[in-house]
Amino acid sequence: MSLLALKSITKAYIEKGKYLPVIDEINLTIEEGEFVVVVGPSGSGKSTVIRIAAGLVAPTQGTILYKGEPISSPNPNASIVFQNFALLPWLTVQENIELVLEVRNIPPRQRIRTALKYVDLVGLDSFEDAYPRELSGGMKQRVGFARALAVEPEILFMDEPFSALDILTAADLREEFLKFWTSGKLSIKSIVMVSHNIEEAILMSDRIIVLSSRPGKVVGEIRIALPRPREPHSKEFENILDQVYSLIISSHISK
Amino acid sequence: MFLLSAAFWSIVRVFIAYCLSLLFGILYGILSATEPRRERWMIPFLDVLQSVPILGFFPIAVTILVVIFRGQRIGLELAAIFLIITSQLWNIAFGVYETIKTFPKDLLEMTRSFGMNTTFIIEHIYLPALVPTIIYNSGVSIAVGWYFLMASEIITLGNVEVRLPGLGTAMMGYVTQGNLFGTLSVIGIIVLVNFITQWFIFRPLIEWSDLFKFGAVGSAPEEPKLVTILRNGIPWHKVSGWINRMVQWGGRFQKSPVFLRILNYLISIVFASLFGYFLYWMMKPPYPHIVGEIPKSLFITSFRVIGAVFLSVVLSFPFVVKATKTASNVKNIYVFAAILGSIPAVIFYPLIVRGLGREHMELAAIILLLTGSFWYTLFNMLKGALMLPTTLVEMAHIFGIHGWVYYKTILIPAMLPSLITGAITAWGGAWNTSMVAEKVTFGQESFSIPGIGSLLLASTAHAKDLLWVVLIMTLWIVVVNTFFWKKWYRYSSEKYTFTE
Repeated sequence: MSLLALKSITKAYIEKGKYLPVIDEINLTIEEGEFVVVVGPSGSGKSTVIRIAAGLVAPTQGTILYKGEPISSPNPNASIVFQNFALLPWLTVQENIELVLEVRNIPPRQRIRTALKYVDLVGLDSFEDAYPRELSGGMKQRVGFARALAVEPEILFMDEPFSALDILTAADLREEFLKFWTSGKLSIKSIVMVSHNIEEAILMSDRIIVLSSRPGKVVGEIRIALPRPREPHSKEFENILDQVYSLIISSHISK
Repeated sequence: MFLLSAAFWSIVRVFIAYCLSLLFGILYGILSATEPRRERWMIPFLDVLQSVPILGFFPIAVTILVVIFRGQRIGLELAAIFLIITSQLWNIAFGVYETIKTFPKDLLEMTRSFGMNTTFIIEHIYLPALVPTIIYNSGVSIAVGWYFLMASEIITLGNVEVRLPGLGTAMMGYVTQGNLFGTLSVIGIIVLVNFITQWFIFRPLIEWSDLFKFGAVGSAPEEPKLVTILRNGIPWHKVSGWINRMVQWGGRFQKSPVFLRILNYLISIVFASLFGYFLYWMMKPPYPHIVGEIPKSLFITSFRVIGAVFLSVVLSFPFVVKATKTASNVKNIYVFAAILGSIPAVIFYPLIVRGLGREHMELAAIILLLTGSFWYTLFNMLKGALMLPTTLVEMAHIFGIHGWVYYKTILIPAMLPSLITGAITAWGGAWNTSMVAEKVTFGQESFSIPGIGSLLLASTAHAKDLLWVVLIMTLWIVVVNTFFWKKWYRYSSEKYTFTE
C-alpha cells in the first residue's frame, strides 16, 4: 500500500461564470522512502497539488488516500516547509518552533527541549532567542525546516523551499538537507517537493513528476537511480535533464 | 481641590468609554472579518454609522437616558460615555477588520497545516497581529474621546437641569464668571493629561508594536513594563476562548435555515411596524414649524463646512511640502501634530467666543470648524506624502522636476487618495464641530449664528422637533458621503495607487 495516493484530483474555480480548472485529473502515488519532486512551469498548479495532498485544500473532484484512508482535513502526520518561510514575526526562533508543539499539547518543559534540539540540528544554536527580522533568508528557512521537523511528521511537503533564497545560500541548504535525508536519521518516511528548478529536482529526487500548465496535468514521470551526492555535469545527469526538457516541450507542442 | 476632582471625573469617563470601545471594536472587527455573510451587512452598517455626526445624536441620547433614569446623574453619565464610545468604536473596528482581512495568506495556511484550532489561532495569531492597529487607533481614539467629552460637557441642553462634574463644565463656569486664571488652569490640566498620555504611554507602545509588523527588518524593540504587566495580568487563554465562542455563536444560527428564516421574518415584521408607527407619529400634523427652517439652516452650515474643509486642505499643504523635503521633517511634524491634535480644541472655543464678542461669531465659528477639521487633513496628507516612493522623488530630482510642475504631476496625484480620506474625515469632523460652534451658552447669555447646529440645540426642548432636525441632517450627510465622497475616493484610489 502506498503512503499517499492522489486519485483523479481536479481543482477548478468558477470566476465570472467561467469554469477555470487549475489541475485536471491528476493521479499520483508516493511510496514509503521516496523523495519525489513535482516540476512544472508557473500556472501548472504545483502549489495547489501540494496543498491538496496535505489536506489543506479540498479538491473539486477526486480523493486523497493516506495509508489507505481518505483525507478531508489537514493531515496531522504531514508537515510543510513554505517558500516564504511563514514565521511569526513577534516570536523568537525557539518560540516559533514551540508554538507548533504547543498545538499538540506537548508539556512546556518537553517543548523547550524538543525546540532546542531542532534549533541545534539546523545549525542555529545561539540564535534561538533571535527574532525572524534579525535573520537572513537562509536562516529563516532553517527555522522553517526545524519547525516542520520538530513535529516529527511521517511525510514532509516542501513548497519551493529554496526559491526565495539567493543561489549560494540555496545550494548550501540543499546540500545540508540532502545529507540529513540520506543519513536516515530523520523520522520522515517520504518527501514531496514542488519546484520550478529542474536541476534542483534532478539533484535531490528519486522520481520527478512533470506537470504541464493551464490546466496542470501529469505529462510524465522519470525515475532517477543515481547515487547521491549527484554530479551536475556528469553524462547521466545531463541525460536526465534532456529527458525532462523533452517532456515539457512536447507537452507544449501538443497544445 | 475642586479642579482635581473635576479632572478625576473626566479622566474616569474617558477611560471607561475607551475600555468598552476596545472590547466592542475588537469583537465587531473579528466577527465581521471572519465570515463573508456577516461581513456583507456589518461593514456597510459600520460605514453609515461612521458618517453620522455623533454630536447630533447626543441630545437624543441625553433625552432618552434622562427619561429612563428620571433626571438623575447616572443618566447623563451614561449619555456622555455612550457619546465617547461612538466616537472611538468605528476606528478600532475598522482597523481590526482590515488587519484580519489583509492577513498574510501563507501564515494562515501554516496555522492550518499544523492543526491549530480557532481558539488557538485567536490567542496566538490574531490577537498579537492586532497589536499595532489597536495601539495606533487607541492613541487616536483617546484624543478623539477627550474632544467629545469636552464637547458633551460644554453643550447646554434646553431641558436638562443637571450638569456633570468635569473639566469642560468647570471651564464653562470659569468663562461665565470671567475667571481667566481658572479657564487657563483647566486648559493647562487638559493639555498636561493629554501630553502625559501620548508621550509616556502611547509613544513607547507604538515603538514596541513594531515587533508585530509583517516584513519588518532590523533589531527587535524591547518590551515596555506596561506590556509585561498586561501580558501576565490578563488571562489571554480565557479571553480567546470567549471571543471564539462569540464567533461560533454567530455561525451556529446560520446552520439551521428554517429557524433562521422564521427569525428573519419576525424581526423584519417587528422593525417594519415600529418604523411605520414612528413615521406616522413624525408626519402627523400639527407639523412642527421648525421643519420649514431646516433646509435653509442645512444649506448655511454645509456652506461653512465645505469652506472649512477646503481651507484645511490648503493650509495643510505647506506643511506637507516641507515634510517631503526631508524624511526627518516628516517624523517631527507628525509627533508635533499628534500632541497638538490631541488637545481638544473645543475647550478654547468659549474663550474665543467670549473674547471676540457677539459680532464676530461667524469668524469664531470658522476658526473652531478649522480646529475640528485641520488635523484630519494634515495627518492624512502627511501619511500620503510618506507613502510616496523614494524612487519617484529621486527620479523627479534627477530630471529637474521642481515647483508647480512637481506638485501638479507628482505630489498631488500621489497624495490624492490620502487627501480625499483626509477631506472625508475633515468633513465629518467639521459637521460634529458645527454642533458646538453655532450656539454657546454662558449662564444666562447665549451667542448663536444661523445654522443646523444652533437649530438642533434650540429644538432640544421638544422631542419631535429634535428628531426631525437630527434625522434630516443625518440623511443629508450620509447621502453626500455615499454619492459624492465615496465615488471620489474610489476613483482616486483606482487611478492613483502604486502597484507594480
